[in-house]
Amino acid sequence: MESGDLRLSLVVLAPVVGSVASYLWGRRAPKMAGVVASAAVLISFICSLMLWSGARGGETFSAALSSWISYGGISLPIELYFDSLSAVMCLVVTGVGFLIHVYSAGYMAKDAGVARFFAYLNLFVAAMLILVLGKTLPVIFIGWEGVGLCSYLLIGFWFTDTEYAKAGRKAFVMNRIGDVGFLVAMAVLYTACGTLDVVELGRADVLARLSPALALVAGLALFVAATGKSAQIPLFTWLPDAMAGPTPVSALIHAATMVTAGIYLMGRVHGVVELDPLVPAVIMWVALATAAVAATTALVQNDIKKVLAYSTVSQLGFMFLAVAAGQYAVALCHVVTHAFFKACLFLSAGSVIHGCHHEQDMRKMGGLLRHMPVTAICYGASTLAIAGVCPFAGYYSKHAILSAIAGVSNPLLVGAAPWISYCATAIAVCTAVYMARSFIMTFLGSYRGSGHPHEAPAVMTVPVGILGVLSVVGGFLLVHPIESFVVGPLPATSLPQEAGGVVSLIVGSLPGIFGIALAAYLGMAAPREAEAARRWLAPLGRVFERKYYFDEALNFLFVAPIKRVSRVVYRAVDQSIVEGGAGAIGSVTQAVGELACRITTGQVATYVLLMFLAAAALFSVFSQVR
Amino acid sequence: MVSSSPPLSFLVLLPLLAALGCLGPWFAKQRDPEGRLCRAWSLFVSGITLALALAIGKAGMSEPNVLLSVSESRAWIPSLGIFFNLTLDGLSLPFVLLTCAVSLAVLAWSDKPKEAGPGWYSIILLAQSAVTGAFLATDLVLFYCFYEAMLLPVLAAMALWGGPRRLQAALKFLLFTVTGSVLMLLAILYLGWKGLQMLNDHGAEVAFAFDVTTLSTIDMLGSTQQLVLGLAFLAAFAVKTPIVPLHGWLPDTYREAPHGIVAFTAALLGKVGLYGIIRFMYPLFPFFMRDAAWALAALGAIGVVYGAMIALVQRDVRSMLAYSSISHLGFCVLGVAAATEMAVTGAVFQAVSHGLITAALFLVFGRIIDREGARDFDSFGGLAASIPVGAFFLMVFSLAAVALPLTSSFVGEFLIILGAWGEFPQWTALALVGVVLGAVYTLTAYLRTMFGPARQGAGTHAAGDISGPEVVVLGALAAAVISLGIFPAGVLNTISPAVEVQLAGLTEIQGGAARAQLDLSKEQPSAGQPDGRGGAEDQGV
Repeated sequence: MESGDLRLSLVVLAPVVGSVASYLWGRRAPKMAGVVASAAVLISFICSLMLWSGARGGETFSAALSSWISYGGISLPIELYFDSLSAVMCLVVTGVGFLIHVYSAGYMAKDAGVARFFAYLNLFVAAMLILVLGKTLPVIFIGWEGVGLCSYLLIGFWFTDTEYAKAGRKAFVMNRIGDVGFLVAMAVLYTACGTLDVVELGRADVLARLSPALALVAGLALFVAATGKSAQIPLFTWLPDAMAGPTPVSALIHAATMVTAGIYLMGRVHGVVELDPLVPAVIMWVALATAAVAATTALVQNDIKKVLAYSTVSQLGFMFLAVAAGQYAVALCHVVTHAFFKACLFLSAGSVIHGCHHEQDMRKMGGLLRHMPVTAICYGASTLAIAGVCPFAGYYSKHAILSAIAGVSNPLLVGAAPWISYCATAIAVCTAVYMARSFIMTFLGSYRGSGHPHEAPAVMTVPVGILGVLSVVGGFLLVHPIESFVVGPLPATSLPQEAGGVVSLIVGSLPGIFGIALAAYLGMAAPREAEAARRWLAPLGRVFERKYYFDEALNFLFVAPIKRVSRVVYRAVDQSIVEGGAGAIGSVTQAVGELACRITTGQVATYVLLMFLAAAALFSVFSQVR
Repeated sequence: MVSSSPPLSFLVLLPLLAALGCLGPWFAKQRDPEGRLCRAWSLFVSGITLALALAIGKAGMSEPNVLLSVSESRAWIPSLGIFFNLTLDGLSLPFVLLTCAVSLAVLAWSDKPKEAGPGWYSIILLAQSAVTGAFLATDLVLFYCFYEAMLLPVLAAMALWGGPRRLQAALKFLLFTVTGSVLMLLAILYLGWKGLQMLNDHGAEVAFAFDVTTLSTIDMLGSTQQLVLGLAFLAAFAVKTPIVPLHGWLPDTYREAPHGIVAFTAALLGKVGLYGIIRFMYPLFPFFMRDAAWALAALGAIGVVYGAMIALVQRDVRSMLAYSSISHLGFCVLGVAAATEMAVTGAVFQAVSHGLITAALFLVFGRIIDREGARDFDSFGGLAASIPVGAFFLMVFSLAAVALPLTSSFVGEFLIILGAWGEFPQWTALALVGVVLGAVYTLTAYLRTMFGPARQGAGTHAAGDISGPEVVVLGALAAAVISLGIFPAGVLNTISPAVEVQLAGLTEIQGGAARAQLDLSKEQPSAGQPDGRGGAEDQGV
């Protein structure tokens, strides 16, 4: 069932083929793995660009790859759908993805498993593209699980380290919990609405078939799915652990693309999410808590990748704040700018780790500005971008999010809106503080590590440089003005009007500037005050360090009890089922004659009797119910 | 009905005769010391049988993907109304193909117990013959014969070449299954007697008194009779499937039997139970099935979670696989109990998919157990580096076991979830907990086997990786699992009309309100998708 736009099929198929080709070719010639894989993503990017020029005018494209679950009365083909919303995601995934592939060719050059690495990386891009291009929820779910799989494989890429492998498993399992939400949502929507097509699910008459209770269930279930993939409370602890993977993986999967899938999903089915006002309200509070928890945790991390990981969780919280405010285009804006500056940050961090001989502890860095200037400048630019300083990319999206919260219209949130705004602004300050802190610890001062740090080769610095430039101008050029960023699939963006001019730009940058200044003051000018502050806040710091004991709490509440109950059930219930009656028979097998007696006098009859008694009891119960 | 040329009985007879041939003097030790000739012979016959099944299925397609039922009828004991009736329709075809494919895989897998000679191939071919017969028979007495016959090769293999506690395990297996099936036999005899009476009363000739199609059309059982007889049938099928809490025989059997036999048993024997519920219980006891649905669905969902939880704490590889089977089959039971066309079709698809996956898992893990000389996860670890091919295939089948999309088990599970949600949302939701737990135990098993630092010791040499014929076997199974995951439509189109036929009796008795609801839920998909696909649903009825 080959039909529709060939370019659209190619967007997905190029990395699929690339995955196989880079593995087979890369096993013979390791250098070719990166070249083949990058080329495949480049093809996807070019095809997406070609389609995008059409989609901007409101055109949509579709292509069917397989008839899949289509039989009798149900029709769920693997069908791709390209509109202006998926266009943005596609361009980010393939564009940023291409740069990261090129960078990886340098970063992973000496690794023995380079062919496997690029096969996984290309497979990830393919899965992510299916996720953003799926026309029905099950097709999105293919990509949704596919990216989870690739994430699992890549986190545990160096599988001889058991801890890394366990981090991969944790990511997969936590994502699976979210996936159950996805499955429940699909079951509810299919049973009630009779369709899983995302375009259909935007239509009012289709959504009207959902009863209020089911609408609430479906909305919340979808958000549960999003919390897993996009690392929101309580399912966020896998993301910091995911830093066990190679750094380009952290940049591509755990910062720029996969973790934004939840935001994309919310935008895709915003009709369902908005049906019950309670759902956005829940999203708002969860997102705010996540942003706060992650930002404060990032303040006290010393591992450069951990800082960036918590920062990602916090920024995802910001995106969900915009989702909860009903401003999906604003959230998507932040997805785009965040992809630029966070990918740049991670790749710079990768260059730093590479240059410092696999050192990740910022306490053993410092003064790297002199040794690796290009990396330092890019990291610095991205730091300004994430802090939200005008005119860097992050300013445009973050400022819009803060405005969106102030202008929230949800009846359950209107009263609290100012307070949420204050909190979000405080978190924005926090963001600037921890990012500036990481910049100062890494690049300023004097070098505290051993060996000689060195700048990365050109194959790594050029992609970082391009992302650095995008972090500076990406906001102004690509997403500004937000009102016309994505129209059509998403509800129109309406932000409160504000006075234009230079003043508003400066006021909007204030949280970022203040945070950076604070970090600079504490980190460089006043070490004694910083020490005092640290001692004064020590108890709080411990809470931050252990990410508010979320791992321990989840372990205590769920993991340990499930294990304990399973063990008890196994010993008490199952052993008696398995051994109870028949165990007696087992001990008798030595004497066959005796055995015959035992069977006829007891056990079988007991089984028969029990079976009937149990069945009779059950039937009498439900015959009352019916 | 179309009767086929070559007849369906060839599917049963070919492996049976080949099995007898295996025992002939021409394959004796002195002529064929390595057993190569015998293996080639059994592979040849098994391959022919698979090709024949495909050909008959293909020939029975009236138009693309719609299988008419192909049948064969011979007199056996006509005076008692017992006939040799075989039917291949959309319901039995997937199971028959699964049987042929799994038998071929087990025969081709070169690991077998050291002391086993030609008898090994003979036993597997015998088992194949009996299971195929059970999937084809529509005469109740004939079905019962095959149903009991398929136990014998498994028991024999277990008793001959099993682990240290093989005799206990074999006895337990025998006791559990025979207890169930004796009840079924009594019910069958009553049905036949009653059917004979009814047919005589109506002045019909004495024919097909035990045939399920005939019996189900002459609407003779009151609801109390259906309850008693249904319970008796259910006892047999519930033990075989197994439905928790009647799974007591399973862990021991899976622990003690030789790897190949476990792969065969896990892939096929339980499926006969599920198949029996759909084939015999829905047409014969619609009232019972309607009333029992709630309990069956609950037991299915509980089985999903129960099996997964216990699999979670197993240290023995094969125990883990045994309980994971219980968990996966719980999903099938839930689907069958929901009794919507979608859920039952999903359950059949899931059963076939589970057969392929679980056979592969038992074979791969069996190889690892033999290689390491241990069966405990604690003594594995870090094997990925020394057996990369095995690690790759184990990953593929582990992911298929957790129902990753684009593998066959996702299609089955997804259809079951969608189809059962409307009937039993609470039990479906409970079963979904198993989706998470399934990921936990499967990935933990993989992690403890393959990941981690390579251990120093006897087992870390490169020998013993999957190679040669095993790569072909696993490659073929993986190709089947993935192609069924991406292109399931043809198979679903084959299963679905047959399932609707089986459920027709139930649909009929579901009265006014239920019917209206059913129509509504059927109406909506076509209303939601204005592309005209909705019209296709009627063609199967």
